[in-house]
Amino acid sequence: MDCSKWDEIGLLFASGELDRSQATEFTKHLASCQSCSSELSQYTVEKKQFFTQDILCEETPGHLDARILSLCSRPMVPTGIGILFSVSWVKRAALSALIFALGVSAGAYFAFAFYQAKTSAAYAANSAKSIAVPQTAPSAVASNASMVDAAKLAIDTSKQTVKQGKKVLPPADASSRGIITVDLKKE
Amino acid sequence: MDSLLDDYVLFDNWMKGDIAGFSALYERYKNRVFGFLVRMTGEREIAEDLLQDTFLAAMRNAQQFDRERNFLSWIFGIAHKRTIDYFRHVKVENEHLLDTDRSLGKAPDLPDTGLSNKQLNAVINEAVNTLEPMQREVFLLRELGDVPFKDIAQIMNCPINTALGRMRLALKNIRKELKKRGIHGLQ
Repeated sequence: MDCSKWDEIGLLFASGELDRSQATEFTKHLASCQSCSSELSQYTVEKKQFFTQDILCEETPGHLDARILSLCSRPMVPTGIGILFSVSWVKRAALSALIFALGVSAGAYFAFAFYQAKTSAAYAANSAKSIAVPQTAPSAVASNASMVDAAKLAIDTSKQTVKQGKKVLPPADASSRGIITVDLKKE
Repeated sequence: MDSLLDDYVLFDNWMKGDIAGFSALYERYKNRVFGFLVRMTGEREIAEDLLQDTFLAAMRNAQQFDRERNFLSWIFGIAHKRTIDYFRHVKVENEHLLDTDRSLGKAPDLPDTGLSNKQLNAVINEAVNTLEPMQREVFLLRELGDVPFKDIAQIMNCPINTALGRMRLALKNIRKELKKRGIHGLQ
């Protein structure tokens, strides 16, 4: 009759994987359990007689050994994360510093870009407000604009009169707009 | 234990660029890993390619070697992954022609080893080849690779009790096959 102890820990005992207290406990059990001691004896004999390296191993062919040893005798080129572990601590420190510096630069760049974007947005908002101001006093803006127009007209006319030697004829509404004209003949 | 310490020393030498460290580890374990691959694939030529892949992968990923595990467990873990990759590839290529399980169960093309216990060797190999692939793998990892059950569970991505159950079934089936051929473990 099979014993459940063998199923649970018999093979672990045989392979030496039990801790000291478990092994001692199982050794005591073996003394009283015929099934487990018989299983252990059979397995031990089989290991010695049948499951040996001579029987289970396979001899590798010489050409294969030569090929593998030749391939593996090349200098090791680590890949992936192995690269980080393959360099000396000095190089590793330098690499870490470089990565840190790159990280800080990238952070600063993004922070500056963000600040710039924020400032531009604030400026745009302020500009929009200042353009909206004249709308609150449209009459003042209109009068300023018409005064400028009148002044331009007066200057143009004066230039033409000087060229032609004629008296300046001030625009009808120039005086009313406070534009000073000069009579060239009197001068 | 000395062997394990030696493995770490050889491994460290290898990491320092001493190729003799790698050669020594290769010479020490090549036949065990090759035996595993031959029995798992059933083809010597394929096993040769997989052995080469296994050691090259070990060389490439040497920095990831976990010192909590022994070197042999690690190398058998890589061999296991290579075998899985191979069967995945075969399955994709011959999806309609080949069943992975059937190919795993194929009798290996074993060479004439010329050993004195040649007949016993053949019988044991036949018995091992009748095992289901999962049982065979646990059996070979344990008996050929001396891989602890906790590492077998990790390699095969299964609970330790599943690995133990597969091992018990493997032993039971091998005994049955040996009995059929008139060989008994206990003499």
